[in-house]
Amino acid sequence: MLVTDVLIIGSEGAGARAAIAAHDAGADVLIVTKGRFGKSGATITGLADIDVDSHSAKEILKLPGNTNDSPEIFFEDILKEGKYLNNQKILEFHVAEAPLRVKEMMDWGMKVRALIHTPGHRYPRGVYSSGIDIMKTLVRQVRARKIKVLEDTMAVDLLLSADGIVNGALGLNLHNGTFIPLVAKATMIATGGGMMVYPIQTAPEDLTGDGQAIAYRAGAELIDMEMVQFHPCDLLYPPAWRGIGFPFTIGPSAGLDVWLLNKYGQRFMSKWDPERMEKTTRDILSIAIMTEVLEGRGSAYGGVYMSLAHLPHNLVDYFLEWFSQRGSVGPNWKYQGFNFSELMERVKKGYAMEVGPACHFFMGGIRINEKCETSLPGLFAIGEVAGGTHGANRLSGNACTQILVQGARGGENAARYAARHEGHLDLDRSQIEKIEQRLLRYLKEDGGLRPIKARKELQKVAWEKAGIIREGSSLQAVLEWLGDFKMNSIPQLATGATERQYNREWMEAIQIESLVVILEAIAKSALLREESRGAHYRRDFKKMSNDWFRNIIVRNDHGEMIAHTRPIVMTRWKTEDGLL
Amino acid sequence: MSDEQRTIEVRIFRFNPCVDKESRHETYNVPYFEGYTVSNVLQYINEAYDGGLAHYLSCRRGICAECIVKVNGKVVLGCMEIVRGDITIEPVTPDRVIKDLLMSRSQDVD
Repeated sequence: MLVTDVLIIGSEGAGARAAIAAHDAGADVLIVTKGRFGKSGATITGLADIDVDSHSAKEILKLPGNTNDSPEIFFEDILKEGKYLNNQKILEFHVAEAPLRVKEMMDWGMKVRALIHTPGHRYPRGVYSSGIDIMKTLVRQVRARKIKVLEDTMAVDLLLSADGIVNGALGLNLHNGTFIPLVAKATMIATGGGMMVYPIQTAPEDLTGDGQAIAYRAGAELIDMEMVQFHPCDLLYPPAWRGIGFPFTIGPSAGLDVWLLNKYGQRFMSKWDPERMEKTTRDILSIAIMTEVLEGRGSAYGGVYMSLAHLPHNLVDYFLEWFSQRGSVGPNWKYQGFNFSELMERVKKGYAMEVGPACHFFMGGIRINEKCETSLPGLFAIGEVAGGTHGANRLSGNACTQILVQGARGGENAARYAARHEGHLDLDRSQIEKIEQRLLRYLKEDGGLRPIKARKELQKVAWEKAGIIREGSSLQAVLEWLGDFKMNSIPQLATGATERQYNREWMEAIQIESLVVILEAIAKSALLREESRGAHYRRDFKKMSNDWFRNIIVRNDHGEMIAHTRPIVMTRWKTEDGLL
Repeated sequence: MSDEQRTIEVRIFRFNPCVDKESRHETYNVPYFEGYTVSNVLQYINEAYDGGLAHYLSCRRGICAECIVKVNGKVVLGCMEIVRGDITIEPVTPDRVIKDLLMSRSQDVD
């Protein structure tokens, strides 16, 4: 057993920033991560613009910002993009504290390459760095404070005291397969989104929604779970490139005027946005591409074709020259760890890349208030795992702001909470034994359903019926499928290999429990919301409705997931502002 | 996908210190898919043969570098290295093996 003041589950952007804040507020801190510190999760993969209002960018950060901007205008833009579903109390401190948090990162040595202007923002607000640089900066600060980090250890459930207070978590040491109670006065979840619920995602393998799931099982509310953002044009093949956003970056994002073609060679965007065509918004692009795929006009690997054949070769070469100064694509078409020069040579000869949408971000998550407290005493949540900041859609650059702002604020609040509370060292052994038994039953030799296969089945259902395009009947079908899956498939999961030491199939089985919660929450929430708004698109309710200025909440009611609505938390902007 | 019938031999270093006295190499026949990386092949083996085969995989884009392995004696990132024929996959530092290809982290965190 390990005992600490503040337990932080998840070690990357949000978790690391929270650890620093909690430590500086006087708490003893323990970070636990199922991966490796600075080497897992979503943060390091970000191209990473960090939003601050452009006025502060100029005055505080000394970047070429525009002083006509203000935190208030930034606030409005976030709210507009979120279609007015955002929690405004969270937004108040988001815009107010962003400049301080970025300034601090720069003082700590984070490199800034530029201030960029991305769609949806009225002014240039994206302080352009990289996920790798953000993590290097945070890792240095965590190490300097000698904060303990427990790697390769998965938090499999929260521990609850008899009066329902969160008391830490049960960890599973993945190296040797033993369970270890992690007892804390305050517990903070910072595990990111649940993108692995879909078969294609821009995120790393780790993002399986474990944080949302353990919070939900313990009784915490989840909010806005129907709001999932898709990244429209990612590579589909070969598998090594699956979900890589290179085509979007060089094309529709801010690059070349590329053409998207269906299998008949038709430039289908003319049906959706004849003016902006491929340069339309991410959600319209994703819906359009998915419609082509679902209606049988897709490409061989389940996407559409992105063509540059109409562009002269020397133009494409010159594009690389000027575009590479932005930093996301380097000389020789280097992009992240990839070198796409061979691919681009073929593209210049007329070959079209096959592209499709990939799951990119969860706007929804654990419901928090402006102190980053969840609906359960003793439990905090920050970053992508927490819902409410972005409403129905997220602006580019606001995820990085969220991890820094909520990390700092949540960490400090958790430390204060821990200082005020005694904690509960008297562990409920029966609770721990129940969890252990539940997870150990998956270690079976033969005859059952292999977890990897089960996960793929689940992802397929999620993609086809609760993905980019939804309707009442498809969402009902998901819930029926899930009912059967929980009743008949989960009890039959069998890992094949039965050793407890770093057994990837056992990890898969445990993560499937998380994915089931994520998918059910998406489907239940999406079914209730009978309109289309932001990232949520219902084919049977294509319009946004004034009746739906409400958040949707799901919670665990004695093992059953209940969905209901909740009034939006407002400060300066009222519902009338968002009316159609 | 044109070469779907072709198979390759993948030899892998196996060692679970909790169970095994010493390490061994196991050979798996894996269908050849154009563009598969070492990590894709390991995932295939996890699915088709042994879910217990330990290796690390997170970012899938050459950033986190924790999937580092030795392939035919050469140190590579598993998620970036394209497989073109028979291969032998081993841990980079056998004395740091936790299990199979999974190594404990080096002290140098940056």
